[in-house]
Amino acid sequence: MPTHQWAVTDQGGLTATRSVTYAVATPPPTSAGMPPLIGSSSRAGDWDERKAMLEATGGKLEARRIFIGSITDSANTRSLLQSCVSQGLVPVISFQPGAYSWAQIANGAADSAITAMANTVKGVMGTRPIYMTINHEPDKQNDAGKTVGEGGDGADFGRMLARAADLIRAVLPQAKVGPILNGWWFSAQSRGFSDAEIAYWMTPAQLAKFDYVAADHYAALNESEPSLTRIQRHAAWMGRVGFVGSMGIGETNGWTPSDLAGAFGFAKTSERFRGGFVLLWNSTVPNATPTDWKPVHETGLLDDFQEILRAWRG
Amino acid sequence: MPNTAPSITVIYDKTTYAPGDRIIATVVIGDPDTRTVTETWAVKDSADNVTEVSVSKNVVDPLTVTPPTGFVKTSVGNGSPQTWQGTA
Repeated sequence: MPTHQWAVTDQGGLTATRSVTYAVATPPPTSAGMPPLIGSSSRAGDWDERKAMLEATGGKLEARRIFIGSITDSANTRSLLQSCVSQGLVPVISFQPGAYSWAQIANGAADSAITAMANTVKGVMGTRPIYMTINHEPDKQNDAGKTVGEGGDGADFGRMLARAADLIRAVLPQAKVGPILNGWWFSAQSRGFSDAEIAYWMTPAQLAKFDYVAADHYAALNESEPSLTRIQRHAAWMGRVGFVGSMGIGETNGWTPSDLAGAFGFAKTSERFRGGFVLLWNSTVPNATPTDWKPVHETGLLDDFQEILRAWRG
Repeated sequence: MPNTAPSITVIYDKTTYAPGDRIIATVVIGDPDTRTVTETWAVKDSADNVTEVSVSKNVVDPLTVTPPTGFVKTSVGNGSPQTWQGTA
């Protein structure tokens, strides 16, 4: 850490000095290149310990997954983003809509709140890189159909995020904005969405507003489908619809060593991931089962991820 | 007259900077000493008679701040606090 020396001298020649030490955070590799940024999540209180654990064999995290409960929660936004700045990490931050429905946001009711949120982010991040989204995993967990989401009708989701993207970029021109979808949309099983079903949520015009389309990709809980299958189908969808932005994985943690390696291995080499990110899910969930949701040090995959991280940039 | 050392406190606007970021430093200086400054005034009449009077006053010991290389003062005057700007 660099140190500055200050001094003050009086007419009699007596001098007092003061040393000021400050930190300089080296920015991570540019997100424009390959491989994409590699990172992790954790519960906020666990972060420093988990980061040290993942980096223990020489790897270096580049991004941090952050979850904010509402677009109006400026205190937590500032605190967690300042932590990213201090540690030289690129934030991948998602906000919940809070009191607003998707329709309300799409129709302009949250314009002031979103602009205020963007200014809060700007106050901490300045011109530093950041990935942002609103309402990651928009689909209802138990939705029998494929048109209803957490914030309302699926047709309002793309409208909502496209409007938010314009508002955010007006304040933060460097911000990358896009959806972080439910990974099962890309499943080859019956739960998966067709291209038309995805288009119900995001029209081509709305997709054109996004810098990336990410998803939280997990293996099927009965191990019948690895996360790599869904990730590959996600990439194929991008090709079919002509989306030229980046691909991203907001969460993944691997059912097995091969599942973990498959997900990160694909992200490391697929051109679809240029300028994107791939993030380990490393947040403890209270439920003991299923195994798939546990952090890697509880599933025996810690050394596997440590090696992936250590070798990420060669 | 005893000469007591001055004091200096420096506060930076952030704890962490990116390379090349601007640093804004607030510098608080002080000195318990005062010094006596004597000024002499004179008046002369048309007959060249001169009357002089000396006026003495105590002023705070003037202080000079030496910053790290590259810092420039952005506040006006030499009082306290002062604002300086540099680069991380």
